[in-house]
Amino acid sequence: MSRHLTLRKKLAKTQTSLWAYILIRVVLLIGAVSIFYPFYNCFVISVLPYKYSTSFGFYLFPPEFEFANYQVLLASESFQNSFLVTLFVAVVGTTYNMLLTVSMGYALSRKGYYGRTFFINMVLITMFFSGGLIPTYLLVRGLGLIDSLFSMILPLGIIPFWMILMKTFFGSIPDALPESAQIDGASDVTILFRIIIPIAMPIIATITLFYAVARWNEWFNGMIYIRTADKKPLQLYLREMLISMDSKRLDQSALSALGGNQRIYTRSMQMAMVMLTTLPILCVYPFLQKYFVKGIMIGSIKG
Amino acid sequence: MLAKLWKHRFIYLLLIPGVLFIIIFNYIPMYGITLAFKKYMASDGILGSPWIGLTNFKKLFAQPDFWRSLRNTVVISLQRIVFEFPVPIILALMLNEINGRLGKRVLQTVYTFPYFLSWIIVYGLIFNLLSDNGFVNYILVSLGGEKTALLTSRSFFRPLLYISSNWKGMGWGAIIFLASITSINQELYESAVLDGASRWKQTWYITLPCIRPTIAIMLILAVGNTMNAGFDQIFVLYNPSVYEVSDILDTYIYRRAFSTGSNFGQSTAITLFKAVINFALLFAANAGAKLMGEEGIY
Repeated sequence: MSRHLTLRKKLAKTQTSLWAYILIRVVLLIGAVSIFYPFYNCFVISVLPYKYSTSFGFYLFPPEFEFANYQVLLASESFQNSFLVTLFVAVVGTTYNMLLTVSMGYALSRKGYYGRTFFINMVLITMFFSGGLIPTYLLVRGLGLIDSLFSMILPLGIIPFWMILMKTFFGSIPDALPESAQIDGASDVTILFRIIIPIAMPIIATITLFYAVARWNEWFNGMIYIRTADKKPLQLYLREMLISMDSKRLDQSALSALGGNQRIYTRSMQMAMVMLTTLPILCVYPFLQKYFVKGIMIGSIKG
Repeated sequence: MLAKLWKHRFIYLLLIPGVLFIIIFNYIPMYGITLAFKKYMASDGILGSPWIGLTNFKKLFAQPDFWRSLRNTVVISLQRIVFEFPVPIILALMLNEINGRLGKRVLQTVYTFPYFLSWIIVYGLIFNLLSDNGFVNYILVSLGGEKTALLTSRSFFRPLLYISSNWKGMGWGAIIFLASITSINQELYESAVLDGASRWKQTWYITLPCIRPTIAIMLILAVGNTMNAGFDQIFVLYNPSVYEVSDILDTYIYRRAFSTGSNFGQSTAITLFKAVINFALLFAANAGAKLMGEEGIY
């Protein structure tokens, strides 16, 4: 009763009506549940033992848990291959992204050298014009990258938005800092690695994560440039599984331990795959979230 | 002059990798747009292929599938502005009403998460919910309806686009509006409360007018993006039985170039056509916003 009264008082202070107060919370809660539920349903299906699969209906709680689908996937060479491909693309690709983004972002944040405006415009133009699908495809083919893992790495170097964010951050570091180091006799390299980069570490970490997530989620380049099935990234492996599941590509000994092909419920296997592909994003998400609001706010200040 | 160049040699050194990347992967393909006016010969490359004037465009405009994909692109983009554009704004206004720090944080965490997933993963989740014995059909049947193959239903395809797109992107989209709301001067609200303005009136007369410039910029950008109706999402979700309502210019370009023949000249012609219209729309929307007293994007 007293809680209710304090709420009333609080609402009166901001002139909020009780109905609006309740309605907003109910709508937001329904929204949050509808975002969460598809993941939960996916998880339930992925651990549902075969015998429940034919009965029509949905389980709020799975009557029994079985992680056999995950075991089969993890033991399958086809899964391991595409996982390693994605891991390679993510690690090498993100390093490549960061080398380009940090070096160019820092150079463009410095002032007073010839050609600065020219180089900035050079980047800005790429935000509005692009060659599009076919010319890019022909370029990658011309470079001899078809069916090479580097076809998924090299064409995605700088995302202009992140580079400009980087530049804006470097630009916000007071000039006095590098200048006093210069007077003390520090070289350009020392200034960059000992002073600038340590200060910029939080934003560098954020941008690294964003690039890494983009790399993890990448599938389009894999689809048009990669021919060999074993070199396809995880996302495409998932897509192929969803379109038509070919159990021959799964690990046969793990399958027979399960009781053979007839014991797999296709959709459970597919959902286990969805969960496995989502998991890494879920793991880095807390770190992403910590910074993205700040990141976007810096980005929205015109650089 | 040379002394100045030499003084900044470290900066130029740092610029080399980025500039090389941009020239190779951004500017060389831009030159490739000339393919729109050429007949592409694999043996001659882009430079050596013969010029054929507007033939690619003429052939393109003679195909009914091109007009179908153009119509779908425009309709889907406009419907996105109606059904998707306002959602993050409303979400931001509602999240702004949550005073508890923890509650707000938890809600924002949940709402933003799907943005970081690929459309293939989201397709997996949709596929699960809409499958023959999935959640949605279970609800339909228990409400007395019939099982429906929703993924191949023409009438359901576009609603599915807008629902899934909002599901995935509204939390992320709300961030920019929330940031804009946070920067509003609090004194405005304090004096409004003193004058006895209700919370609703505060939203209508203070919050919305204050975030109007942000809304205008986002709307101009959305209009300037009309010719891109969301390739990733549609490509992952569509199938031949719904081409009639789902095939957009980008998916059409893709199929013409990679699955039904390899007509690179005509595909590039569509890319150019799209870019020209998008620019025209961007300028028109910006001019319109300026006439209405907004700042615009340039």
